[in-house]
Amino acid sequence: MFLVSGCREEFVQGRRLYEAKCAGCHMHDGTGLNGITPPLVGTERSYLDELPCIIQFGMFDTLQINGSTYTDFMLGFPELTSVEISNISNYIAFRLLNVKQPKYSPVSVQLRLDSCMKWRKPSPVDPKKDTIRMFQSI
Amino acid sequence: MAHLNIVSRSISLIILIGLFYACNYNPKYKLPYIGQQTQEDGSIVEHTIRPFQFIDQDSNTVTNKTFGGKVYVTDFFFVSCPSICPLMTKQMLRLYRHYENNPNVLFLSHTIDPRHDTVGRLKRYADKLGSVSSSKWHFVTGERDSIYSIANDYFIAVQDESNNGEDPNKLIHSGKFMLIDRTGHVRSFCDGTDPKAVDHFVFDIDQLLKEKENPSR
Ligand code: HEC
Repeated sequence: MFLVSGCREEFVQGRRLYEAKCAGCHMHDGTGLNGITPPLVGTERSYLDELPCIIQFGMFDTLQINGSTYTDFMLGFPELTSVEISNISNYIAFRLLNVKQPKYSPVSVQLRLDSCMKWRKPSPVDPKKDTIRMFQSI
Repeated sequence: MAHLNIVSRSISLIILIGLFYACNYNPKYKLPYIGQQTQEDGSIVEHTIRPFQFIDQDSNTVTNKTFGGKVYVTDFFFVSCPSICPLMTKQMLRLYRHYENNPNVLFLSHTIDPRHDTVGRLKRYADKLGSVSSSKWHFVTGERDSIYSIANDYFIAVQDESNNGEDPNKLIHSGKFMLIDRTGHVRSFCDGTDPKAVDHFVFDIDQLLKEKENPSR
């Protein structure tokens, strides 16, 4: 009984964190806001490998998604732990995208974070200094 | 015979009265006037948005006259908003598309970050949303104090603790959409971040559109 409810509850923290930290920009259903914040669902792109790193360190690229260009950046969430990041990632993968893929675990997320620390170019903005603003290109 | 005549006359009178009331609006569905009433020359005046003047994404001056005789939906947002603004903009865009071909509905989005949200920046923001007409949906900026004070008229809570706009996390505003009638009265509102609330809001907008130009009160 506890096991069953435990299984059903497995995306709860992920959903809660997604709604608190991501949904404001990417929408609750992940559809984004055309031209301003990219959709996470219904796109050809596969960002799942990078997802933990995007969450932790942000994203500073130009994206072409479904005919729209996204030139803004997303600040990372340095305060999130690898457990929290794996929960958000699993929620996105299994609930929003419905993909069949191995689950993220805190250990696998930590490994990814460690490795992308190495190749990532330094972020163009310092999130600790609030002087540089999001959506700069707009 | 005369007796029957009276009966048929009173029946037609009743029907006439009935028709008269049916043709008038049904008070049951009339949207309330929101805000404090005041007395002026012995008559009651409903809360009215004070005159304003802002500049929109095409550098056009936008005043309360721009919205005279139109129903409009308004909100307060800013471009760099890290929290709820994309949610609101998405719902506003949905309303915009819904009333795209109705010339009697306009939209007005105020930035609460005029220091950074210049006319050009608002223009780029609006353009990114895709085919949004600046004569229907005005994204306006202006003097900071005018924006923050007109927000009061709309009952929108806004707060700037951003240290001159340096920290966008500390620009705080409510995510409400307000519905303003043809004569500048606040008539309804909804939570602009909640798609279901916005669905209901559409009923209110439709209801307001049915009111006559100068509703006799
Ligand atoms: C302040 C708004 C904002 C918030 C909050 C936000 N994002 Fe983003 N996100 C963006 C923007 C803007 C981009 C595009 C960045 C770029 O073009 O480099 C983006 C890009 C992404 C991408 C890349 C999509 C792709 O197709 O490559 C992913 C994945 C993503 N975000 C996930 C998240 C997750 C998960 C969260 C919550 C932990 C989150 N975002 C919170 C604005 C935001």
